[in-house]
Amino acid sequence: MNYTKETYSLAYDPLDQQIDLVGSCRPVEGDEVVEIFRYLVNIHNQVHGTLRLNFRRLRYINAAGIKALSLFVAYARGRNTLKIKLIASGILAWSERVLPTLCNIWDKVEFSVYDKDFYKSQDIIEDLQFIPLLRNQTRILWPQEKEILRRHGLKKGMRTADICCGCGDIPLLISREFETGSIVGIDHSEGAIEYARNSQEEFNISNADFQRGDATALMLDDNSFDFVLCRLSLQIFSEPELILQELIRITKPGGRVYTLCEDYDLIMGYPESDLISQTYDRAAVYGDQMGMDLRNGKKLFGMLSEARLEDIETDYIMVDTNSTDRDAFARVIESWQAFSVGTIGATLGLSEADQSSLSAGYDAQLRAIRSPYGYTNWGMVACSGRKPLS
Amino acid sequence: MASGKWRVASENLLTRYLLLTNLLLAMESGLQTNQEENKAVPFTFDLSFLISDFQQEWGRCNMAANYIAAYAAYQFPQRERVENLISTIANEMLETAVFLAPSHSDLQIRYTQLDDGLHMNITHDIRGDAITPYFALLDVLRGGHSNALYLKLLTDEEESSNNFNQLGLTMICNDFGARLNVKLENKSDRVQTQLFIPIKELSA
Repeated sequence: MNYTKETYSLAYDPLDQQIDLVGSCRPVEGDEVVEIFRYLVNIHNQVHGTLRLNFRRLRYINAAGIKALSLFVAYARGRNTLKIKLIASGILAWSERVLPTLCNIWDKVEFSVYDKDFYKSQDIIEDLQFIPLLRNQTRILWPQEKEILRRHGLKKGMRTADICCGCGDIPLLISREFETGSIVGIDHSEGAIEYARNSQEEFNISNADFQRGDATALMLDDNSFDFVLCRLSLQIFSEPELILQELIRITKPGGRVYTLCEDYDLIMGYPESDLISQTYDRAAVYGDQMGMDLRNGKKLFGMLSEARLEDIETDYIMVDTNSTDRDAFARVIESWQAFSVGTIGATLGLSEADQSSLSAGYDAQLRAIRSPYGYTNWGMVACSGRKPLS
Repeated sequence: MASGKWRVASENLLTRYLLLTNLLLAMESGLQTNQEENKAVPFTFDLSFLISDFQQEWGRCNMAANYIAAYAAYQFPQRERVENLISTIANEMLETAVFLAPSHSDLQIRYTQLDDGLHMNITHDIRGDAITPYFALLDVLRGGHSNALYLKLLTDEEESSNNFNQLGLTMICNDFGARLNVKLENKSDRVQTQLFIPIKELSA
């Protein structure tokens, strides 16, 4: 049951009792407003309980469109058989401004902004203080990952998107290394996107575009990219499959979806192996309490298979003391230690003893890095799959 | 004679020297003035359309609003947010003008960003029958009593007999903190609507 016009659509999903509004809904007053109203009434009369209206991918609406919605709310108030939930997006400023007004028409209309606190660690991940950590990681990952990306099919001229791109280093590196046709970087953090745009300007890279966006409701067209990346991000969301769905939606049939995730089970070190392992075990537990799955590298193959991607390729990226500059590696571990013990420790209210115990493993790992006979690593799983042609 | 010639020659030299000095000073001062002027020049642009184009193809309101917004938003770090707000507001202003103006009219838009906020002036001819209701609406909106009117317009089942976008303007005043002013130009059938959005509304 869809209502589709040239620039927008309303589609009913019976599973969630939800109407998804997508596109730019700026009808002229009159017949089109009546049609939208009738469509909404038709759905209203078929459901029980709660009806959701999801505006997260409706880029624009005009007053005439709002009129159709308000008449519908007035109709629902008259029938008084349903509750209505309006789901807005922090990315779409209009939705935060205009939709609350509909709650004034009827007290059974609920309003929420989906991406406000939409993952537990949002405040700390989107803090600008997180950027140095991201950059340190990229420094030691990129030499290996660029080869992995080549092996997974990234080529010159491809239309590419990096979803959850953080401060934009990877899209800019890809643009230079692979000479992609274009690359779009999307991140929810306004500060990170501003940082990315500044870097782009400084490095004079013209074929990259950075946009603020919600990875679970992207403002990008269906089937529009040859290669879509999502790196080191699925682990921070409690429902990574919602992001994967969007990655697949925007990928062209025959194009590839590439994911990279951490897996703390792959991290080891020597000497002081036990101390290092204990710390990463604890960090994974604390991460879990923050809604992060820091052991999800091993789950990627299953996730991509369940999503019906084809020709799935997997690879390890193994940063270790043998293949990586030890000072650069140490800087990453120091960043993790500060983030894990300081930021996460403070957020979870860890006791001094717990913080100290958590810190001990990072100290041991740093000693392993700095000892000429020590060994330690950071292991991740890269996994990509092809979107079926039909 | 010789001294006279010398005097003339030296006067000429002096004159030339003074002229040159003045010219250099003037250039320097001119440069300074230009630099100062450049600093003070606000971000501004003008656009001109034909009303009939919008009336024939309604989607052009959407296109023009999106263009204005995308162009203006590059001035802000919160680009997506500002673009979304400006496009929504500009679209309602354009739709209103398209309803109010006769088809032969042109439509002039001047967009200016100053420290205190955004100013957008929209000028076009106005249908004679629309003048009184339009000015009456703007009076209500300027008077700060638009909330009750907003709810009424949202839920009124009957279409507006005035046939212009009352809800759109009321919405941008209520939900976007827009302030509107309107004046008739020298010609009594030409109207200029002045929109102001305080900067805090864009960054909030």
